[in-house]
Amino acid sequence: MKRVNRILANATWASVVLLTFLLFVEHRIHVPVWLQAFGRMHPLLLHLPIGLLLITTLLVFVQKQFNGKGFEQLIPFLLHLTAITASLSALMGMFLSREGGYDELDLQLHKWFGVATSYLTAAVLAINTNGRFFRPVLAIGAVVLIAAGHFGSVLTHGDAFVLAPFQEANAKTSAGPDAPVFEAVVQPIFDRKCTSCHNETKAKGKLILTSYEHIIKGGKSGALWNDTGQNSLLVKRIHLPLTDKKHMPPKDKPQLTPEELDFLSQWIAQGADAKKKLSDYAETDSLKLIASKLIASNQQSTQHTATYHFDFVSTDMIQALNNPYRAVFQIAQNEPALHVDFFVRQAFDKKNLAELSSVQEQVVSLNLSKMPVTDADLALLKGFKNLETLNLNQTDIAGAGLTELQSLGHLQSLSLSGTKITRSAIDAIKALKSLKKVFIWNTGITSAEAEELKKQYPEITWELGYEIDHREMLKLSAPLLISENVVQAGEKIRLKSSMPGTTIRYTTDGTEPDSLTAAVYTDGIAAISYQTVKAIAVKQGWRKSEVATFVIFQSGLKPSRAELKSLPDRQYPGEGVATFTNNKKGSPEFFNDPVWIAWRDRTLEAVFWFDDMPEMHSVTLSYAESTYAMTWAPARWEIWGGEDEAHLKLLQRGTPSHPTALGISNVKGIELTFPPVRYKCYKLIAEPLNKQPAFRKTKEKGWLMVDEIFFN
Amino acid sequence: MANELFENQLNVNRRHFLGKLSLGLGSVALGSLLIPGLFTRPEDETLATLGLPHFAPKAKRVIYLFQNGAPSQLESFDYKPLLNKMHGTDLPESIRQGQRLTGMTSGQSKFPLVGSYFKFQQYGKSGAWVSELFPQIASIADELCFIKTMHTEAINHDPALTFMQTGAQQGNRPSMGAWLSYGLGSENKNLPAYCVLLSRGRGNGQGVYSRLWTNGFLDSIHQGVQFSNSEEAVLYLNNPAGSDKTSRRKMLDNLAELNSMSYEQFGDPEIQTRIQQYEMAYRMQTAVPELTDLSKESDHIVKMYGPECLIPGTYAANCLLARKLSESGVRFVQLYHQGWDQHGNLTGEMPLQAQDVDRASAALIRDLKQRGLLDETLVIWGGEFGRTNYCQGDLSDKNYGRDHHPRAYTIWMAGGGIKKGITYGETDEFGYNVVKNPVHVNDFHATVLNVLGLDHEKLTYKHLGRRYRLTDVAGKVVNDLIA
Repeated sequence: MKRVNRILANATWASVVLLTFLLFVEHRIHVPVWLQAFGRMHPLLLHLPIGLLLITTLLVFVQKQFNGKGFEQLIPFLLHLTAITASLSALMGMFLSREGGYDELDLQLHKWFGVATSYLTAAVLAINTNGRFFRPVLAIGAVVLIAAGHFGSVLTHGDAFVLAPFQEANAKTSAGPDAPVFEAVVQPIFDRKCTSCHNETKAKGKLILTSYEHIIKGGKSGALWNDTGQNSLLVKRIHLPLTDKKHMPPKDKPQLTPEELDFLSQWIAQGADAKKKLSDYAETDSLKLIASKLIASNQQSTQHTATYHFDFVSTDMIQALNNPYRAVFQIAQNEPALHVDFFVRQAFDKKNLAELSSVQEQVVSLNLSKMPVTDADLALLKGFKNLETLNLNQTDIAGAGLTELQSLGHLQSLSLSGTKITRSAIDAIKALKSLKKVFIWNTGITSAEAEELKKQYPEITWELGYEIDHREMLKLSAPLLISENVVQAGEKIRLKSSMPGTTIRYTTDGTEPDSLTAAVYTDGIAAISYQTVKAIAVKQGWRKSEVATFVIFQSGLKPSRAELKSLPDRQYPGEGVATFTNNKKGSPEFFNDPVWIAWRDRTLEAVFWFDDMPEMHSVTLSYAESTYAMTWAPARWEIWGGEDEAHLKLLQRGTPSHPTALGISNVKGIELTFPPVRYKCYKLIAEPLNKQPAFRKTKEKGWLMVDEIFFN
Repeated sequence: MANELFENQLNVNRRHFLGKLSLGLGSVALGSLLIPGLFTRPEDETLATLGLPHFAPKAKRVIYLFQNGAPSQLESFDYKPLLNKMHGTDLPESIRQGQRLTGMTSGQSKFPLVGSYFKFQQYGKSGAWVSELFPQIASIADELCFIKTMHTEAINHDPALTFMQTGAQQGNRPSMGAWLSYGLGSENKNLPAYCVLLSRGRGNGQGVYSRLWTNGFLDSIHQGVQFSNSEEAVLYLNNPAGSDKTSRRKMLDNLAELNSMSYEQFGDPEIQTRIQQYEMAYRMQTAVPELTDLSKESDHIVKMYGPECLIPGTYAANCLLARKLSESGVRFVQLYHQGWDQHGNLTGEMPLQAQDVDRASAALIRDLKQRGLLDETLVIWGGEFGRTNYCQGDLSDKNYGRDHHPRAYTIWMAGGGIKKGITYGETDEFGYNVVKNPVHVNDFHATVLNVLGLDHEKLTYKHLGRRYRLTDVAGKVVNDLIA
């Protein structure tokens, strides 16, 4: 006996270790078929440890009644058998549970109680049978075992199986022999979404939804609905948020569609009449409307979940068919179906299409738009019998080739926009029974013909495209300046309108141009030192554009060198004196750009030398005016000229005006003109506006932001 | 008892220990047979599955019309008549519940509610509420799916924008378009899979920056390619004067050879990327001029999008270009339209902004539809957060401003895989809190990926020792939006 016990002890150890290991890696286990069969013997084997443990416990507690010699060895023997069968049962249970379909909570309870049973029986073996812990542990083991057994029975038979006969006695009513709405809509919904778990054999939550008799009995939480139509348990459960544990169907299972949800709620709210026929409902009853929709969708649902059953094409073959101008790829990893695109019209060759014949069975979607495909080429598509979407937009077809498509029994969407197709060619599609959408925008088919088509083929959606309202007058976009806003002397100011056929009219005197009398732009506007060009675009059938305003400077004379006589503000040093003459214009939104140089506390003083003494008659200061950023034209400014710095005389001075209300930010110019002179040295002085206009309500000093100074 | 323990210890000797140990190990070995692939090196499952959707997609491409600066939901799509009724009264504390404010309004002593200056009306069979600022979008309401309960975590533009685009507030993560390019691959090898088009509005603007279309830690081939606003949409694409196609080809071949040598020497995968990019640029020389040539557009198209569509760099032109790019198989076209940040002068600026985008946005949907492309293209329109129901700054009869509001805002989507003519989610009467069906930015990302056939939990990239996702560690697919 001792030897047998030793062998059994080793077997127990091995099975407990195996169980422990598998518990740790449970999520990674893959159960092969033969082990599934082994797992399904769980309900058979589990009765052994139950019987063994109970009888062992009984024997231990009535030990005194026996005094046989072998008794001391009998108890460990029985315990070993219990431990081995318990852990084997647990293993089988684990394999069986991998098949799924059990209530998660009950399953977990059963699992851990079962595992605890096998550990306890193994543990009890390590305790001396005469020790004081032996009996209590054994007793706990028996209790745990009973708990495991209980939850196991809940899993298979449902809650309160034993007491059910007492409750069932008064719940026997029979449904009518024919219950049309129920049979046509309600039962199919249950069959689709519920009965995989709520059937006679599985009956989760003791609820069976396979027939009316079972349905009205309800489950362990009670009846699904009552006669009043209010507070239905079923309606409550299906409307709970998905994350709620009690939400039905469970979140990893297919959910009810909004229509199904709506229908069930309304049908129950109206009393869940199982006998009422569809025709008994009023025509406008929303219940009837949804029901008809659902019945229709039942019939179509096969196409909706289009999974493809033909063979996969090898990746090598797909690879071989791909090139920069022809993309061939599977529509998804798990689908053998292929999508094909052609790109770049110049690169297209009929041969490229013919080469697809090796995968013609798999192609479900083909895009030939913009390719020079002709009617004759469509014959190449004959064999693409699984094609669902065909895009022939802007191809060279005229319609004769559509007859070649008649074998495409699965074609659902056909795009013909931008082709020369005509009404008479369209009838060739009559044979295409699956066709749902045809796109005929911008073709030879008139809107009257399209109306006719809609009547003739009501099952097809004819997309004629967006019809523009010809009476609607849209505003043209304003002209654009295509020359720079600093032009070199002699260069012209050039404008452009992006819309063909428009006329540009403009003014240079600051007045608003009108569409009749203002000057017509032809090939450029002569530049002067500084001017504001205002322009509009006009065209028959369109509203005139908004006025575009361009401030244009002319960069005439370049100083030989220049020097700042006063330091700019530390925040905006620009690029020193070069900032004035680098022809870089700034934007009034971004003053940190070094094209700007600024003064605030000091007065701008700069000296410019012109070594070859050209004739000069004006100087233009380009500055930023922003009422928000508090930068303004100078308070006053002067230009001086002379032989050198020591002999300068005032040529001109100016006191520019300033805005009187908040306005948009802008780059502006001011000009000082004087009788023509020829000097070597010029000095410019400009004083920032220390006292800002009253509307700004501030005591702070204003800024003078300069990006450029032009001499002409 | 002590004696028993002593005996037990005597029994557990080395022989006993080794015997039990080997038996136990044997059991474990037996158990390990049930774990497939335990001893093979775990293959990076993400790599094996790249370039194809996880399941059949409902849309193949995305056009994202990003309204940069956060347009006010209360003057566009989220109609709150109560605000007009309570105009000027203080926001009740029971609604605000101590929610944080930006630094721009935290100094305000009062938070006067302000109703929309613009009138609302219901449109289409779906009865969607749209303000008078968006007449064209209103006319296609039955094509659209309005989500009124978007909410985000950031309260300022930069982090909110970065969050919306990359799923993280801090930057350096790949943006949505890069993830899609990585997950789905490029459809048309003659064009980048991810293109970015920028336009400036006439309202108060906020910046956009290249990290919004970055590839992050993904291969740089997935980076968004920014198109220029000038006549030449892709800069430096043309051959320099005096150089022809043949010499360019020869130069590229030689360059590729040099690069391959360098790759063999250093093994940097970016070198391979560079070779591929040169090749794509070469093919783009043919593909791009055809796309960006606007001169051949028919009057019909110009009237649909509005005359601005002929001026490169405008929102309308970008919408038109987006349609052409998408039609040519570009996976993700990202538009940004700046100028929606109306802290003040809302009634002055918002009509200008709406004018910029209304017609062209609607035209894009119509144009895709008439070509049969709307069924396979997902179009998204919206900003990075919403605007407050109370006034920022001075409240006058005719003008007011609204501050940033991350707790609820409206976006719309249309096209492939998305339900038409529905409004999802509900905000409270004050337009402040979400009361039904909230959609977090992570949920939005998960949903967009789902429509494109990607499982947001499986689209991962291992970087710095962990697997990253666009939705990071959150996000639920909003199935109610998916047709």
